[in-house]
Amino acid sequence: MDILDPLVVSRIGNLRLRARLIVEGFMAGLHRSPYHGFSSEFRDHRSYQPTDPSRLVDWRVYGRTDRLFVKQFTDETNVRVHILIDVSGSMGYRSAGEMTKLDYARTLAASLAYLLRKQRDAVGLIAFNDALRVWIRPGTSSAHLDMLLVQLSRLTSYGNTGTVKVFADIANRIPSRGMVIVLSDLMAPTENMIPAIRHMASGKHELIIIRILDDDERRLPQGRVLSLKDLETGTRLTIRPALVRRSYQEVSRRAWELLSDAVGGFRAQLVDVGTNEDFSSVLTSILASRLHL
Amino acid sequence: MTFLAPNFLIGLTAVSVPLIIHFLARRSKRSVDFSSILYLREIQRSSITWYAIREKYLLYIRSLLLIIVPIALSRPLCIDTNSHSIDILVIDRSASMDGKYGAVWNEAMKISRDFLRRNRGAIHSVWTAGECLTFAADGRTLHEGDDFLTFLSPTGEIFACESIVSELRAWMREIGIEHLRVHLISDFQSGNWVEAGLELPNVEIFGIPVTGVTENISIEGVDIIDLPSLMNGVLIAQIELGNHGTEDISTHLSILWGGEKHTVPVTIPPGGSYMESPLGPITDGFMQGYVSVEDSAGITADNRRDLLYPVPDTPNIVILGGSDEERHRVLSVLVPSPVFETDFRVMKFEKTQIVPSDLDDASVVIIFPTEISETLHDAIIYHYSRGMGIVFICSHPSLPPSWIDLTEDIIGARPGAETIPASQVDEAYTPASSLHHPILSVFRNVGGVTLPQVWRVFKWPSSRGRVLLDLSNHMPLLVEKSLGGGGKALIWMTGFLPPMSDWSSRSSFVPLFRRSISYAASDLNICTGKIGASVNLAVVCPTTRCVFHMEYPDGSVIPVHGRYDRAGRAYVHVMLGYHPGAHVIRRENQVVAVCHAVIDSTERIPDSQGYRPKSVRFGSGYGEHSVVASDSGPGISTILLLVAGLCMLVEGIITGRLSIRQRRGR
Repeated sequence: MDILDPLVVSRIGNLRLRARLIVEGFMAGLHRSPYHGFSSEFRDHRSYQPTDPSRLVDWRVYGRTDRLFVKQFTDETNVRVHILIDVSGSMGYRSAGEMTKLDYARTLAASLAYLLRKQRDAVGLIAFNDALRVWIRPGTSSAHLDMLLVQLSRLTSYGNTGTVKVFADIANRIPSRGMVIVLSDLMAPTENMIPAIRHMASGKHELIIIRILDDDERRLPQGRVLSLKDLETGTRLTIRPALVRRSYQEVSRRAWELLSDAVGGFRAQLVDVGTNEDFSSVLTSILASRLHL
Repeated sequence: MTFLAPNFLIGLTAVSVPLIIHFLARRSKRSVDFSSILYLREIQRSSITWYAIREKYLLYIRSLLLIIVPIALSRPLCIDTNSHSIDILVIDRSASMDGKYGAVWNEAMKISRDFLRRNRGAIHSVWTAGECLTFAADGRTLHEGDDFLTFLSPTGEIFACESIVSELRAWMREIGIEHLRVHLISDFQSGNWVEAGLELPNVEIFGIPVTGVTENISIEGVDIIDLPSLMNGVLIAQIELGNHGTEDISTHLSILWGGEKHTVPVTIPPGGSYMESPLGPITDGFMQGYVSVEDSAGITADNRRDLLYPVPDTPNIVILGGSDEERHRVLSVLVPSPVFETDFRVMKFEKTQIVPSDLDDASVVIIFPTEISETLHDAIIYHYSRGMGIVFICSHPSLPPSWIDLTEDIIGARPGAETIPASQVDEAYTPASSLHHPILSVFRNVGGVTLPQVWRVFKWPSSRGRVLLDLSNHMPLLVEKSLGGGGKALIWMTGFLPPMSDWSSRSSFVPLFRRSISYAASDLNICTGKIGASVNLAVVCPTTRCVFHMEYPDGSVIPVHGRYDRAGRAYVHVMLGYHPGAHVIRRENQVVAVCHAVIDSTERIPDSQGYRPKSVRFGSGYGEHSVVASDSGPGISTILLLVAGLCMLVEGIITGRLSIRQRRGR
């Protein structure tokens, strides 16, 4: 049994315990990982010495110069990280046996907060739907983490997904350069999402957008004829999944590509996760994104 | 619009089936929450909408299909009012209109003049019996006289709607019009105008009622109008009375029959009537006399034509060969009383030379030992196969070779020395001495001959329904042989014992011989009356030739050509006896079933204005073949069926595409 499997994690009621298990499990496996955490910042290259671990070799430079160099990092302290979590109605969706997207995002946010706090980084929390719902400034203390976890556990999903206005509001409230991690299903029109992300990225923040989707959202629920009720708007639509599945996947893929193309121009990274993915791989993806930034 | 086969409209209820399926399918859909239908909305205009439309299309198409097919089968009949059309005025001139100078007729004339004055120029012509007026478009009278109607109507009479229907139809074809409006001035004593309107699809009839009461009741004539029906045992008298208002009149009808006057009460509806079979079916015997009707004033009108037509169900006997004495002895047995009381009708009994044509109407031929020509031999075989009975009388031992040949061909036995096997007789009722009687040695191979079942028919007292050969009392031997589908053959071994001279002296012999002749004629008795009988069909069809397909019980079908008369009735001569599968069920002297007859098609006449041959099927029941169906016009049903086919094609395409798409989506 994988301790980081969402199904296993979802059985743990205490959010702090969840976060601790995930982070410790993640850290235990980190020795195999080339990543050093959020606060590690690249500083310089130096020539490779025979005693240097091979994981520090910059293979790209080797590819260009045919000479071995290793990367040197400088630990950065007190990075201000804002975790934005979408609490719109669509985040309350889950298919049979899975966590809701909000639950998944909550657990992931708690894990990130726990991990960041261990690195003495300041973590803040923002919950939003079509407006700001929760605002906790970044902090590093244990009490701050407790308060943040309590707020996370109280989050419920309702309302519509906000885009430009909400993101602009959030960007204005984050004063200095820092890191912003968005946990959302991005269930908003793409043409609205792109300017919102642009607005957020314009504040020199490092932006990591994690799209969380349920498996049913990727390939539609099974059934002959379904009457779907939108969790955000309450409107109904009758479909025959077998007939529209291909079109739906095509539209969904196109929206994701548009978003990826748009984000590529900013200092931002998109990560796509599913509610059935284990948290270890998600954390790894986030750290990989961090390195690419 | 009207429907010729409205029973098919019941099929419209089938429309509920796709509706029910549709609503059941809607109920079967599952309602689930979903995070967001944002992306689905983007594809709604393509896949989802198209899917929904196709679902609806399928529902509409299937419903349409189930609506079209019953309507097409119910043969809708439309009147095209936009086609080339003219108006005519028809003035009823039947007896109920009180004759030419009666009050009702005068009233009708007054109404006619008013109508023509109001519609002058719009009425093409005026039709009535014996007179006709033709108007030009400007109202000028172009023609006034009799010959116009005579030209148009060879019968010169428009007494009943049946005749005017055919007249109008022929006239429309002749002058090339597609649509006719008939303004009819009539007292409407006959309700058949409604039927006439239905029988003329492209004719609209507008009634202009005329009323009036005539005080005088007069009988204008009595006639026997339908001889074929009489031949089938039904007397039909047409009685034309003067107008007697709107009330039925009760009178009586007299028929002199068999020297006795029969009087039967009859009720005659307004305007005269057809009286059918007042005495019930006449099945045998002669009828001679006249029919008379007495009106309320005691005035009698009669038809003095003697009805000497023999009833063909009566066996008609032809005697072949034999001496004068022998023939007269037979006659004395068969016709012991005056002609009106006889059971048989004996023909050609005085002829010494019989020719094949003499057998055409024969029920039974009695053949004495005589030379039989080859032609006559073949004729006997032919008629025998059609049901004619044959009675061979061995009146003397010298049998001519041609006579023996005939018996061999008929019963498969020749004179010889063999005896009847003991197993074929009932010893309990047959004296042992009879088995060895010399008469049994006349034929050999009699083992192939059916022993005389006729004895059972005759209910011979001592036989108790069994085969009996009682030769000890010098009774004749009867051997019966029946070919499949043919008549019966009997052989009277009367040549030795007892001599014919003793026949009349033997009290038991005469009824036995008479019954044997009846028995031999019994099959033919059924068939004779039907051979060549007319099947009267109230079929209305613009063609004049038709083909009836007679279906026999063995499944074979024989086409028979018939003709329609000008009144639209079809006649066909059905030769039932020609076919071995034909059978007739007879119950209480009345034929209740002949065979199953199908009018499969009618020949199309090139100038029939697009009328199509129709297919009419009717059940069995002699005298009940009153099929009423009119032409459905050129192809509304066909068009509807084509649309139905198109619907099926579209439905198949949509269903197929849906199925393929669903398979891909999975």
